[in-house]
Amino acid sequence: MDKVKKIKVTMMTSFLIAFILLTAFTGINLQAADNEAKTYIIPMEDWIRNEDINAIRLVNVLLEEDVPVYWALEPFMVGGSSYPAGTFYIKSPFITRKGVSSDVTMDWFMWQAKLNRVWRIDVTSDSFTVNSKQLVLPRIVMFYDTSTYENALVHYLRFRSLGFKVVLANAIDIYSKPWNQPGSVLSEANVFVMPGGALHFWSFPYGKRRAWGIGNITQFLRNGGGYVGVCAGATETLQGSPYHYLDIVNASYRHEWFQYASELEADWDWRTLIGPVYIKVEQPTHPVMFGYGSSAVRPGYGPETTIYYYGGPAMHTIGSNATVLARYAGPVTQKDTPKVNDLWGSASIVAADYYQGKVVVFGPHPEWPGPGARLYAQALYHVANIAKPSRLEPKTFSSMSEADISERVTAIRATVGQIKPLLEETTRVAAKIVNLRVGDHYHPLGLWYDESVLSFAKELYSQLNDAQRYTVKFQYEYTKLNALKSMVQNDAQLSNLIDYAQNMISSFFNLTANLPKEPHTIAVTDWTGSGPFEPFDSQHEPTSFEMLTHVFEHINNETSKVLYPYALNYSTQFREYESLRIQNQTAYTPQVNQTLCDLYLNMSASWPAGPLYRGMYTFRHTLDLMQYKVDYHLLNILTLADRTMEILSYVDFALARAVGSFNYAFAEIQAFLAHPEGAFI
Amino acid sequence: MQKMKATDAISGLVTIIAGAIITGFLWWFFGSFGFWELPGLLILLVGIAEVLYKVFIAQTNQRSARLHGGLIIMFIGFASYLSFSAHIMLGVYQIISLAIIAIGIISTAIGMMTARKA
Repeated sequence: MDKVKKIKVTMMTSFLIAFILLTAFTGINLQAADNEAKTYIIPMEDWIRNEDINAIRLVNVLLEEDVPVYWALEPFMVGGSSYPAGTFYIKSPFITRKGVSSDVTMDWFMWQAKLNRVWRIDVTSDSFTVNSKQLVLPRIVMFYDTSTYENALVHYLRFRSLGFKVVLANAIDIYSKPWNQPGSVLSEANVFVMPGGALHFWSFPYGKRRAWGIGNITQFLRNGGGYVGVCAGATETLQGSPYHYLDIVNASYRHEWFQYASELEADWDWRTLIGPVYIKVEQPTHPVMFGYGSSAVRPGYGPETTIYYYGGPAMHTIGSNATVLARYAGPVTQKDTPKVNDLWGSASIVAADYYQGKVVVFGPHPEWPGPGARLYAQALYHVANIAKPSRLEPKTFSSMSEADISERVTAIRATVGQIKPLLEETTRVAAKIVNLRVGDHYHPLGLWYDESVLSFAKELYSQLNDAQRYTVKFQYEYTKLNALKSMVQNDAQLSNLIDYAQNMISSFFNLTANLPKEPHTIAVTDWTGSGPFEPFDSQHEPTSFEMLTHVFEHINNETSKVLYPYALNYSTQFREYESLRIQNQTAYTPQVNQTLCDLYLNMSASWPAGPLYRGMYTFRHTLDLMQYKVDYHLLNILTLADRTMEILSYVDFALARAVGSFNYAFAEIQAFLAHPEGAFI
Repeated sequence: MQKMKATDAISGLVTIIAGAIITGFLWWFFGSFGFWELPGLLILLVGIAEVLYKVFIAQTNQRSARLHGGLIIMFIGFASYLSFSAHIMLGVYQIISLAIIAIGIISTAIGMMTARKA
């Protein structure tokens, strides 16, 4: 064989091998949809391959689209594999609420699963029967008012990670309309979440409006609604509680911890318990506890699991309508005092039935980082039983023009650009305040809220970044959809899908241009005599995203000119107290002890309010601005944005399936040329 | 004609086997074929490119850096295309992979032509 021929043979062999590989592998993956009945099983306990939080988030997206998702209530076996109770599975074929076929939907699901570390989904054609609950998507109304502090924010972040869309409701939202009147927040929800914080019914005006609020929540539950309460939100439900506003769970708790004989004693013992604690599962077969307990596979989920504790109810005397799901098992690092060591062995998680409704109450905090996330999601699935439509659907069906969107994007980006330096300064000052070390939650004279201001400031920064990213992404997506529209103009269903997705984008930008009114009044002074603060009246109320800049200016001024000087001044008295306290321990004399007691009583006086309460309420004033006048709006914007992104995700996939990967790529390239940044978000 | 050395054949074969093992493992681990196969396929196909180049040297007793590079680029392109072609959403990546294949083919062809003239 001559040299040229050998070269040719080598070349041809190279191409032949490559061609065979190319066709073989491509053929494997691009098989045509067969529309046969299949079951998609998500093994929740395969912790190496599957992240359970992400799996739940994807399940929630399917539920939003009316995909039938089942929750196995007992173990089952299919195709040679066994699955424990708590496994999710989806049966096809089905049609989604927007008419997308199950093949397209489940292909999208498998694709998203791979991108979201849910790497193992078993697909089987075998039929099987197992006692299951068809999941109802929890439509959550979460209380968000004076008493929820930043705990409502922590809840929101947890719900967001799990893909639950939350409606934030203040006391007025709850009491102003009958629970079942169309348009009321409760009528459009199936779960009411009461987070931690202070006793929440103190947020309601005393008298008949509080009674209406209580009546509305109670009626909502009696008629099949669900209730999940955490910490203070649990305390208020217990019939044996001195604060049994809701009276729905037949149990009591150790409220004697919070009683004290004299002002000097105060209720400080329970604070020694703050931090993560172990809980022991009592009912591993209860749906809320699936995956936890002695047979838990996922690391950290059993035999005991840790969960954050912050003074929630240690429940006991459990009655007939309630079931203890878990008990406090022991401390992780805490050194408790005799007054509060009866926490161990008390009930920490209790489920109850209340007429048609279901209730789950947590003494500790499942929303905090840790293994509680799945627990929380399962509590929500357990109590949600009546399907309700989404509140996030576009109100009007007229899409904005690309020019209008461009204008909104420019305005939002400019606003974020103005806010960031202000917020950075606020964060720096807040960090300086925390570094004064006068906020300690364990200390009887700790100001508490300094860390809350810092946490809010940091979180607001992150939310602003998210909002900005979404605006850029949505502008890019809108252009891409326009490019795809011309490719599918003969297909009515796909055209409708594009219109729907573009309406969602328009709805998002409309919200940023027209923020709803937030009802809280920011007072110039309060009952402690703190302030006077710079007035924040109706002209300062943000009615658009751009107006948030003024609120941030307000917050920044207050942090620098009011909070920091106050904390600095307070730190002088605080150090004096600490010096006396040490002296009292090391060189006790009756005079030193008396001076210490006098100083303590003076600083912690509740009426007329001493420096401690005045300080706390000074910080609360700034926090109110952050919570109501900024974060309320940002969270609503992000909720709508998250939902819009989910819709875009499956609409894009359906369109790509229809036009093919290359045509879809060309639409992406067109959008990239118009808005390059959007392609990289 | 120069005989291909046994060590050359073994090293190429080892690369191919390693690539096949990684590809198989990733397929098993993720439960299907997709972009996650890229590392395995890259090793597998670059191994094939290396063996082909070794065969070429053995057959023609000539070395060509351009041909060597061209073959590797072409097979990297094939590996990318194979792993991305499983996904309808990765059209842009598929186009980029095809562009890499085209560059590889051109480079290989030039390498062949150069070798032929020599």
